Amino acid sequence: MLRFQALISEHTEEHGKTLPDAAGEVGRGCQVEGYPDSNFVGRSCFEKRPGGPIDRVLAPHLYYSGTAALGVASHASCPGTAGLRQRVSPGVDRARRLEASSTDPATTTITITTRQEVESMLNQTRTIPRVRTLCTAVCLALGLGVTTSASAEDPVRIGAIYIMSGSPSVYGQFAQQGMQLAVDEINEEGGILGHEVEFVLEDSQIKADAAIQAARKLVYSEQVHGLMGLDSSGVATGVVPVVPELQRPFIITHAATPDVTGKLCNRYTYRLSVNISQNTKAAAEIAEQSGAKRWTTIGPDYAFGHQSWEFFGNYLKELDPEVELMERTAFPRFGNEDFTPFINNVMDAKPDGVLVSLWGGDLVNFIRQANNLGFFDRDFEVLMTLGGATEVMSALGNDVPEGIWVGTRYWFAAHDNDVNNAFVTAYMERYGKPPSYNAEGAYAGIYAYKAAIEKAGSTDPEAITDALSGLTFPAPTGSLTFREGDHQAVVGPTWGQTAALSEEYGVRMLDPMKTFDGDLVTPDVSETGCSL
Amino acid sequence: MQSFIAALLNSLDIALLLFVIAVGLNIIFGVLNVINFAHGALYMLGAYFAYTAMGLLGLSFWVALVVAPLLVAVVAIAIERLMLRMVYDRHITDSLLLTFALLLIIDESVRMIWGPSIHVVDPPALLTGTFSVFGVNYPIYGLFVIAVGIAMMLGLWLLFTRTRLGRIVRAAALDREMAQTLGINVPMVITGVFAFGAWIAAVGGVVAAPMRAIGPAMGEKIIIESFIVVVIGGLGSFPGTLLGALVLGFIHGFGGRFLPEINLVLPYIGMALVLLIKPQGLMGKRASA
Amino acid sequence: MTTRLMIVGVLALVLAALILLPYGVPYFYIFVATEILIMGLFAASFNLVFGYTGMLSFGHAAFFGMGSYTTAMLLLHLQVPLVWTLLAAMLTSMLLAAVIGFFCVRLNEVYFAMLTLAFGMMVFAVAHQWRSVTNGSDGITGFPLTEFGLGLDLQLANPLVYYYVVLVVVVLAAALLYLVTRSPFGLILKAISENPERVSFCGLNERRFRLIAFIVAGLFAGLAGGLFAPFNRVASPDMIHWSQSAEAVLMTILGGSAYFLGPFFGAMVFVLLETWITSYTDHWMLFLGIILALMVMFFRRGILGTVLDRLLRR
Repeated sequence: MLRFQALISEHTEEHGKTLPDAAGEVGRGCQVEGYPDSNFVGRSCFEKRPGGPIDRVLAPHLYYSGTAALGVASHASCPGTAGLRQRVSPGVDRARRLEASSTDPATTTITITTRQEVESMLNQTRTIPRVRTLCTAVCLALGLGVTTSASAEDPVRIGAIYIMSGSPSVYGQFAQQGMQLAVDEINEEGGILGHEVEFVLEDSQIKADAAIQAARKLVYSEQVHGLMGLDSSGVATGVVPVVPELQRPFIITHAATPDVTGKLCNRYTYRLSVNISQNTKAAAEIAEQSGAKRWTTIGPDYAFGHQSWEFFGNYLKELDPEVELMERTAFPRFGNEDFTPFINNVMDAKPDGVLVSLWGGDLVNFIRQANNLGFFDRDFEVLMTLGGATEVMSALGNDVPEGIWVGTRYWFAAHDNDVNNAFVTAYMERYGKPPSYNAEGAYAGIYAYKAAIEKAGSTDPEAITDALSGLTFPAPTGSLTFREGDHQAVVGPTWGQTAALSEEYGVRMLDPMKTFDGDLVTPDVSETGCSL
Repeated sequence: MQSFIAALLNSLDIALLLFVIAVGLNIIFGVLNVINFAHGALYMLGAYFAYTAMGLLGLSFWVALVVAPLLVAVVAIAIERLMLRMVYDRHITDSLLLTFALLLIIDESVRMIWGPSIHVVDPPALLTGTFSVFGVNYPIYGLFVIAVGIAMMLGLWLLFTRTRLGRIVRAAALDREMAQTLGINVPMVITGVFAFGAWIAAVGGVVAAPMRAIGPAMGEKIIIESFIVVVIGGLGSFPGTLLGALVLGFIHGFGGRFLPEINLVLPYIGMALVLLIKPQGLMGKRASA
Repeated sequence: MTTRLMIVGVLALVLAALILLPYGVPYFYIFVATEILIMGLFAASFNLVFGYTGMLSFGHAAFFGMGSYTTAMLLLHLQVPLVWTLLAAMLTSMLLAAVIGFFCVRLNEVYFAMLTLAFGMMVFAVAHQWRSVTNGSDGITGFPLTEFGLGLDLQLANPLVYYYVVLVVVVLAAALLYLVTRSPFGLILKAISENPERVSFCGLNERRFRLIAFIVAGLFAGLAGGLFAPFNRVASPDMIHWSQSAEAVLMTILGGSAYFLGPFFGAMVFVLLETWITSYTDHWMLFLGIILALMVMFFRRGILGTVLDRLLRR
């Protein structure tokens, strides 16, 4: 097969197989390439740093090229595309479906030689409104005959920061899958305002400083339009004060500290996931109904663990002033290995109820060691605020004790609506496991951006930021709204009692199960300490 | 009383697991004069091999306990032959840096091969469940860990004092050149000792697998703990390692239970105190430095 | 003499390049360059103990962290001008280094490495558990960046301005540190690293010199930390953790411990590699491990060291 490419740039005019490597040329560009005997074109965007060759592929994607005879992009030749195969594959499927409509491939010729010509040609077509000035330094395209729908325009780029290393990195993995699914769905449907969507993922390392650096890299180096992610409250409290400097909207999809939509709130920061006050208010209701009077906690020794206990205590006292919040609590270090002393400590205290706010690998360790020590056989209620994470539930399978209350920001079987049904089905089909709350948060985050950009009618970050305020959009948990007062989504957690293991999903199901109404568990804006 | 007994048992099982890991570190130091930063990574490798054997291949725990450490020993032989050998005649910091590089390589490889998720394996049926002493329920598996620690201790003691092999190793540790002149194949002994140390670490990894979550970060935590054990007990001292492990085990078992506010600082305070009062460790030989 | 001229010329070129840098690179690289300068100072201060005095410290991040926390807390609670917080950072970390050093310099080699590790982790544990003061593992965040002080009207929140502030401070600090290494005191340190017994036999109190080196190194590490907190907008226990100390070790090895600029060069290679490699893969640590192993096995004198060895021998 003959593969041909043409390079169009403002300064140079080159034809050939190689990508430009002239020193001094810096910028980002897109390349369209194909094969003469099929009618598909692949488009890849590249970034070029000073003095070096093309650095990386930002968005391989496939287009059907209309009447022109072009082919599937060869991604094997592009560095860094190995991990992006998933993104390409749906396009390939479409390519196969459309193959029959191919017209005579022999007529294809390279006709474009200058950027102006590409632009003018692109401008003739409906789907490619413009070539952004940022993209002008290097622009690669392939001649597409007379009419074309291939584009050299910039995609909507969303920067995501999740935990991708260390023991909690399974949460990042779920988030990545959720985003991937959303991005593929949106692109399949024609993108956002005709723009293709893509995400760039960075590792937060569960450290605030690493996350801040990642955010700067995403904004200044990757030129993203918006940011999302953050898994830990500790990281979020560090990142959020810096967000206004970056001048990009930031949708938090996991971190739960009330502060980021409370005293630290700012114009750019939004959160679509359930926060601590929402979750612990629900927990307090469950706790109150259980009738247990003396409560203690085991939680990670950082803001999240301490705030969970504080908020839970306050809400529970409101509901039932009789309850006793015990002095004797246990806060093992995040990432602790041996919880036995802490478990013994709590069992010795002989409480009526225990609030467990551990998560991730800690929770896995804790549950197994607690099983061994007979913790769950004791005569007290156990509430796990994040026990309903499928990351944990599927790692443990049957080791999750039956009949304890677990909370989660989202439970895949709790929402019977079209969005959720489609999401769960697609997720199961693609990844073979039910989506976790983090996968759902990431998936909804992308859709939140879609809704905001469509509302704003622009990809300008400031316009997106404004559009997010008060935005209502469909999410798997139902229709979500970012409150104008504090930018917190009005959403409630799902709590349920662990029941039998499901063969289909590989996790224990929840029964009984209760999804709390966001309106009822979300504190009033005036209570959050946020003033926008 | 009950809580005291629970904390005591807990301390013992932490201590003996730590002993198993730290003693390998200490044997390697004694003979090779190398502080093996990658020791925790080898322990983790043992746990991951056990997970592969049990969780993926469906073999029994006992098979894993035999096979996984042997595989880790093979890895260790490659490491010693290809890398460590190059730095023996240099300053001790070079081997420390090289094994630190190994720690990064092994940690990250594990994450690439097995993924970032947390894995768990079940204890064998024989050791599942709890027993009760003085009204305290304690997992039987905890007892098993204690038993493995004691068995390892006795085995090593017999090996080093009662066998010809043990004497050869001690000779090589004491004076390499002299041992070489006496016809001992010292390079072979060194490879063997490193592999043996790694084998012990991996036994620790397999034993720990059913009670700890198997994740990519498990090696890093244990290595610092092992350092503390070895320093408290004394570098190169075998009974010292046991003492150090017990001290640290008790700090964790009782500190976590009774002094949760400062339990993180306690091990380091212990280590610093020992180093100041008796730099060679509680049971260490007179240090060369 | 010609070599010296050449070195001065090269240094002048490097300095000119650093001054002009923001005008020649994409905006993001201003952050990268700022980080390189700060980490370079941190690594260079570590090298005073490691390369010059021959003590491998695994607790050097304690001083870096002390500097960060001092700056962050002063900015958060008192909104002191930056220049004073930097001085305070140097002071507090110097005091910490004096206390830790008092104990550590009694020991040698492995014991020294272990004891510094223990003390470093002790400081880490304190920062981690003393929640009422240090805010626990979340660290100090959200502090405002006020004025620089000295009557200078500088918008510190502007990354470009902050880059120049860091550049000036780091260049001054590096010059000072260099003078220390070239002073009679610095020569004694070198002698200690080569043969401590010999130094003792000459009637010098070897332990006292090592203590002073440790304190000076702590002071400059504190300054680096003091610059880092406002750059990164957070002071967290991670900055004290032994893995942060290990980064200083890595940078020094990468660049080469035998030359004064080795750690700076190593910091540049380290940060650039980290920036680039993490764009392609999550497995940056794997590359780092392989690079470090190769360096230790084959290029023990570091990249800059190996290159300069070749050049200067000719």
